Amino acid sequence: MAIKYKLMTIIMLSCTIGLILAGGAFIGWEQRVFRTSMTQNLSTQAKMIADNCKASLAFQDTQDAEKILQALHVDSSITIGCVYTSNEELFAAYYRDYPEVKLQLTNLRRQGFDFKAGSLTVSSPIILDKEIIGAVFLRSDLTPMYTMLKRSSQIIIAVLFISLLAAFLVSSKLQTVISRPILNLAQLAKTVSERKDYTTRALKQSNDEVGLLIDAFNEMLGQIQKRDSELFDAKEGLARKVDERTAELSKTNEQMTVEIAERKQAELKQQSLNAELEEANNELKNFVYIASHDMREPLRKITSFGTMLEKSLSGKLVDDDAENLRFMVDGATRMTKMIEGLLVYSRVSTKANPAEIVDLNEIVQQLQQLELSIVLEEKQATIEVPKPLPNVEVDPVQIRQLMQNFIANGIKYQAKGNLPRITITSKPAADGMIRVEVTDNGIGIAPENQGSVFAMFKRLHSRNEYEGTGIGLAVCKKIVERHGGKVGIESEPGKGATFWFTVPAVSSKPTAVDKEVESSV
Amino acid sequence: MPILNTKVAPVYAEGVSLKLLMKIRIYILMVAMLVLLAGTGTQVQADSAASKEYQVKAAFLYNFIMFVEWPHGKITDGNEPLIIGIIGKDPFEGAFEPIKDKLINGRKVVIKRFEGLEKLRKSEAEMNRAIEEVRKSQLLFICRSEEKVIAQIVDLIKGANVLTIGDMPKFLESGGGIINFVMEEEKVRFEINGVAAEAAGLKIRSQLLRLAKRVIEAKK
Repeated sequence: MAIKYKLMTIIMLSCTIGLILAGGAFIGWEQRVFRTSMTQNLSTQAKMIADNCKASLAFQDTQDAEKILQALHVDSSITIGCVYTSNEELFAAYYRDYPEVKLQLTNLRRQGFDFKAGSLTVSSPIILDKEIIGAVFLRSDLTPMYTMLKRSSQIIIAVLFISLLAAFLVSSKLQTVISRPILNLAQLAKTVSERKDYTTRALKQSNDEVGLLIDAFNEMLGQIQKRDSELFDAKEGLARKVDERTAELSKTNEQMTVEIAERKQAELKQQSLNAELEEANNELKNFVYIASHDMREPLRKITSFGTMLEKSLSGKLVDDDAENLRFMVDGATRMTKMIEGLLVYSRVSTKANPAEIVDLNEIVQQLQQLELSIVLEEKQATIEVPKPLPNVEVDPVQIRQLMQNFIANGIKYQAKGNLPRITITSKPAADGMIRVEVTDNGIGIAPENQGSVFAMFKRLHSRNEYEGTGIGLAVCKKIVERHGGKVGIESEPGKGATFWFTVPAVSSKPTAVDKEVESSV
Repeated sequence: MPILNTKVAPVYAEGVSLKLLMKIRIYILMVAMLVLLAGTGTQVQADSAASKEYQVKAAFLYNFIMFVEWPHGKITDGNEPLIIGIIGKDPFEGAFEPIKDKLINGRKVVIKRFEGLEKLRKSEAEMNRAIEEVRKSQLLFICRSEEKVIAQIVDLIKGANVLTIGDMPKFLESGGGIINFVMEEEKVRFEINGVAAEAAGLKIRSQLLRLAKRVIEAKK
């Protein structure tokens, strides 16, 4: 609803309520006044009749009393008029409508009135010389009051309508005082929001709250205008920045593209280098294998012929010559061993077999009976397996070499007169591996040397103390690494050493060998 | 106001039922009387009816006092009793008994009985003394025995402001009496001689005049 109609409604409603209240109060008041005056009038009439009837009653003249009562017909609202004697006998009566209506007697001696059942009854005693000789009763209906109230109500309703009309006219003129500036403001606000034109201003017409509102609105417009321009500037700056950044980014992008191309090239180079290196490595491996394999033949000749010479020339050579010959045969023998070691090492890389399920217990048993039987007997060494070892999935040849090397190592490095005792245990390790530990009761290794024992040709002792080529542990490390495991040592000097390694446990998937067995069956 | 201003017009229409009632009552009464007359105690019943009539008349005598104004001095300022004189052969007998203690305007009422004029004249002194007493009374009821000498009695009390009352025909015309009782349909009514009242220096209130069956007024 428009503010105009709201204002008018408020004014009209206030007006109506005020008028209705005033009208109601007026009618209530008028009714009260009318009742009082009616009672007074009727009482006065009753008193006058009482006075007039004195003589009639004193001289028992009913006709006279009736004549007096007859005069009541002038007042059409009076329905009954009665004169009673002091003995409460009806002396004379006047009835406007029906004679049969009897008045109910109240106390004769009392001057009084009674509003009941739409009528007013008044009584007045008839007093002659201080003695009550009878009473007059008058009853009037309330028609005049109702007539008056009806007329008053009509007048009030008429006044109400006229006042409302006047209020409507006045308020429709006067409401513009309040509503016009607001409407103007609303129109302006609409214009501003539709055209986004923040330069317009509202015209202040008064110093009241609406004036304040207009001031505030204008100030707000000013602020919006300012913000707007600031925002526009900021937007421009932002666009410029975005452009700059975009340019930078594309530049970087180009550089990156160039870099990526360079990297790719480098990678390609690396790949070709790697391939070259691998080729070189393979060639080297082949060379080592071939060299060592082919060097064995002449060396064997040197060794065997040297030994034959030693036998045939024994006792014929001078001391120095015999000793020189022995040195030569010894050197050749040691060289043969070294070449065999190298062959083994290179075979680890070149002659690999597919992984099989291998029983470690069996391996240890076979080693005891075959490869290591002589050493064990010679050194009076013992091998203990406290708990059965698990199956592992490895190259069966290489695992045998590995175990042999570790056990032989443990037996070899012993203090003089000490009986070697080797203990082999195992436990599961992370990533589905089995950790196998080979513990000896030998001389042990100092912590500073523990990192280098697995290096090729590394020897901690002189050839006179312990015989060896320095290839065995390097081979062990190579085998474990080929199986994706780790190798290590835990030791203190004089307290023995524990060599440990991890190898793959038996995987759940069937192996190639299993498949072959199945197909052959 | 309307009651005072309106000349009481003889409108009987509304009073019909009442009148009818009264008539019925009267018929019953008459029938009863006829029956009684036909019986044995005729004299006693007649006396009883007569005494009732005089009881009403006695009451009326008292009431007249209240509707008549005596000139100043006739009724003294003190508490002296009012005097009702009865001259001649008294017909009231015990009619005053029920109202003998009634006060009027705060005064007692004394009934004084006088011999008839014929008898009084026998002794001059007695006559003068009685007349003096009579002149003191406010009200004088002249009995039927005095029918022939009404004028003389009125003459004797001339200037004494006495309200003379009688109950015989021609009381007003023949002798100058002021109020005369008449019977109308077994009801006691009265007529007033305004001229005589004026001559006696009495003012009769309009209410009383209105009730009178007949009023003799001074012709101007």
